[in-house]
Amino acid sequence: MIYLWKDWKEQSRGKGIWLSLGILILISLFVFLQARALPAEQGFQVFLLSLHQMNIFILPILSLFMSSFSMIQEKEQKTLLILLTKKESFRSFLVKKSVSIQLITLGVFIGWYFLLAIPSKLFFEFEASYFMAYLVSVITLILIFNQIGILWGSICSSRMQVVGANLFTWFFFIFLIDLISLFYLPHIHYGNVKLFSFFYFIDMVHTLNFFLETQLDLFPLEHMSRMMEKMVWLPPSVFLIIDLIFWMGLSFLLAMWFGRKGNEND
Amino acid sequence: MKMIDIKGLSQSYKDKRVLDDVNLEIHAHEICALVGRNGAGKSTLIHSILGLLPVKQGTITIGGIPLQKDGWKKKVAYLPEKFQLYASMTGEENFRFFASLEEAVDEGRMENCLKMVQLWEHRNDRISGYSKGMLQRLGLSIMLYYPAEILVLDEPTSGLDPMGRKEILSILKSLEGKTILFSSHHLDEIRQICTHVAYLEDRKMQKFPIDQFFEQYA
Repeated sequence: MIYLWKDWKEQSRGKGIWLSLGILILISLFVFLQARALPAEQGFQVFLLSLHQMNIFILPILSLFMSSFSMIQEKEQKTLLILLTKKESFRSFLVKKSVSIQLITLGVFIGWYFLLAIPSKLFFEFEASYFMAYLVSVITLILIFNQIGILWGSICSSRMQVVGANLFTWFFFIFLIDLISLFYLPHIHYGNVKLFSFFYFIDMVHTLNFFLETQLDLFPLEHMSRMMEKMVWLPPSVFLIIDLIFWMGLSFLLAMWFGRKGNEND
Repeated sequence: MKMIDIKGLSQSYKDKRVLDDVNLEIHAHEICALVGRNGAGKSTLIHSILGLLPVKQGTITIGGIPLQKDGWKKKVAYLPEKFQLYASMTGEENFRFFASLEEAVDEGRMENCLKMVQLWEHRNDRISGYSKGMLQRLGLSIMLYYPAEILVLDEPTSGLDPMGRKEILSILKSLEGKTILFSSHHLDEIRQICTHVAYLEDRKMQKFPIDQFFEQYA
């Protein structure tokens, strides 16, 4: 709780979180105005999907920078050293820091989407289940990329390293995996599609797209080809949970392992 | 009573040996300066004492408790070199955060500590506006809040102007009942407040009473 209080004071008095929120608000409003041109019965789904498509580009980089900078600051300011010589271990510090960063970021961003729900209700045929599915996709995106940011903040020894690691992570998940997938696509057949599916859905961006499209009833799962059925061998929500656990768990464990090593070598 | 007891400590980074079979005893109420050239291993020694580096060879005991056991952290408070704390928070908010790591904040004790370092009037100012000396004094007041018998300071006067150094030294000198280990490059300040000097040279440690050190080296 004390970490949450401290990190909130720090974040709310800094520019980063408000600048990020400003970007999200601006994007949301533009997408909202565009979606209003559509018929009311379709507008809401298109609005949520378009917002999600924008989020895929923006939210990862914002989350990565906010969480990694918050973490590297603890090292640069030497506050981490003071904390570790009191009752904290690196693991307990990492848990508390992760929880506080996640709660603050989620609170601010999700708070905005709840506000956005008010005009959405007025101008579209608002469907609560669609809205909840959208929120799940936003929460997943923030949770995973915040945790990866914390990993980079724990491992890197300077802000420049953190910037490089963040930009590469963003490029990796948003572009590189797709480029690699496209390269292998002509070689995929019924025999190896399940293996391809594993690599395809371990990328949370693919899973989130698929999850949201199915939840918004834009991609029906009832009439798929045999190959597609083999590709989607688990419900999209299960793929999403697997991704969430895998990426958050992996990032946390790596941060604990390499972060502790890094501090030992300082 | 031995407050810090180091026996046969060796530390290496990859293949480079930084400390070699270091032995050091610091007794209660001693003010011991840790002296050595840049890169001699002072920070490595301090980090080993504080459990920030794993001790693979040798033993370290703090206030009678080996580092491997619980309870030694309560006996020691540490102030790193060139620390900054949380710049967008006020002096009091920073104090409260660090103070609450141990237990619920004792308002009276917090007031005493901040008054002792003459920061009570500035407690509601954000520390981004503090001078280096004020920041150092705030760090010191946080240290003094903890009921630790041993204070470890890494170059506490580094980067301070002469007035700032004088303020820090007079606070350290005024402390009663504490055992202090601090690293420093300033022989004049060591002569002013220290009772002993631990001299680190060529990966080895020697400890001297203050007068003997100055007879031999200064």
